[in-house]
Amino acid sequence: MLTVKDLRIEFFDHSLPEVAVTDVDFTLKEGEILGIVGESGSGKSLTAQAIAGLMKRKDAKVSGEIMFDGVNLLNSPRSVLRSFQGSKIGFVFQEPLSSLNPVVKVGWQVEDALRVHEKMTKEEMKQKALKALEDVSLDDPERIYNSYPHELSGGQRQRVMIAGAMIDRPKLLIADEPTTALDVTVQAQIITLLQKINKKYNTAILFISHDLSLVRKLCGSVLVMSDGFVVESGPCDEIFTNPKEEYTKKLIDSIPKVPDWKTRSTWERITDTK
Amino acid sequence: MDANNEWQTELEVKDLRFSYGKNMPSLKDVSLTVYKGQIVGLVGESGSGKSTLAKCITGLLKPAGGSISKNDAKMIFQDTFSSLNPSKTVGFHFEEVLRLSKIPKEQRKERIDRILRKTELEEDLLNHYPSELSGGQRQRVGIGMALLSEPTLLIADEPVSALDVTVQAQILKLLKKLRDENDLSLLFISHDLRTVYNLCDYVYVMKNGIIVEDGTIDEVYFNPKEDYTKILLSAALDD
Repeated sequence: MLTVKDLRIEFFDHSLPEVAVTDVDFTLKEGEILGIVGESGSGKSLTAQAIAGLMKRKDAKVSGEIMFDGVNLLNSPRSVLRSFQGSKIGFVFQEPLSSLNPVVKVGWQVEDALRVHEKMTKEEMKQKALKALEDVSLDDPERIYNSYPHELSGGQRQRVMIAGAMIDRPKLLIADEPTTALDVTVQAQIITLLQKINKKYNTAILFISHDLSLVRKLCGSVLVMSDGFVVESGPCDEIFTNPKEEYTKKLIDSIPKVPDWKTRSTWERITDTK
Repeated sequence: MDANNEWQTELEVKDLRFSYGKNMPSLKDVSLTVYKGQIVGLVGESGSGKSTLAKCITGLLKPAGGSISKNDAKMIFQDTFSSLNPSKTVGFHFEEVLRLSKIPKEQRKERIDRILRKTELEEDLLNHYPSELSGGQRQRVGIGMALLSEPTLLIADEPVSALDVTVQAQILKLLKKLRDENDLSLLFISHDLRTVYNLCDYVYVMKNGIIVEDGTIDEVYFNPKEDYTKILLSAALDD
């Protein structure tokens, strides 16, 4: 479904050209969850932005190939990109408060993709939006629909973002650090939600994070990036249990661990945390 | 920890109450003790009152009731960018702290050198502006500023949450080293239960302005009593 080939992103906004992403290659099949991990400045977000068609900047040179359903998104005109954005590719970003318009009610913003891509009546759109809000496990969708972003908690706001991204049933959901600004308990809920969406609608997910433990929980395969290069890639289990590159080992080693967590914590789990 | 100062109290908070407005209590009878040389974790979700408690201890907020023992606590924060002045060099920040703590001019150079060594920063960095530093360097500068007046208690409010894992590990190592070499006590506020396990000796779990559970790390992690603690633990640690 998605094939990225020799992706290279260079910036010319300083006196010396800077290569931010170098020769990134990967494929993502339908229904797959791929994680991209790496530290700040490793190029993971830029890679995602390029796929989302958000890299049409004058000071950047993007080369290579991003094939999505047979269309090369990199050299497509804006109109073609627009037809993909929101309908075939959905995005969720780290900071939901800055992606949501503070003076517009949540419902309207969730419907956005439908307004752009589909010909629907107001009532149809509202029904779809309520369904989408319900799908992301928000209680009382009617109330959320009529709320402003600041009236919601961080977790609710991120669910709203996901509802908006998923409303037109995209085949690919790009989630760029969607849980970084959230509490641990809420992080776990959002991960569960992404798993649910992936199963229910067979949506492929590109999950970008620097939190390796979350990537391990969610993703089937993983791409480790450093300084714009893909250092290592493969199935999640294999990379985590048997990393080949020094950099990957260093990354995994720096996750704080609780030794023997499974065997030592014998207390009964409370499963109903939603 | 030396055997002879094992039970010396560094900080004692008793029945602390605070509210930001009428009918909005954000701390309800909070009691907490930090012993000398101990690293105490304070965990809980956003809005549980962790940072409010820290601000009360350092005197940034005036509590409505209860007591806090006399202390010289200094704080370090999550967002180092907003605690540093973007138009002043690192050296200026250090100088200012020393000036405010009335350290005579002739001693300042020596103090700054010592802090640079402690926080593993290059001397050259003194001439740089905050924007020219990496996140890890900025946090080291924040720690350095807090340590300049040589406090015996440091309160760290989510000091590594905004950093990369590898940099997190370096800062945590530094905090541990500072405790070991200087007999510093540390109140470490975080929602990251993995980090707390690896850094702290004792932990308090907070929810809605109440301490719901406390104990040594092993007690709380492997034998939690409260449902809330269990939910927090499994959210953070279960696969």
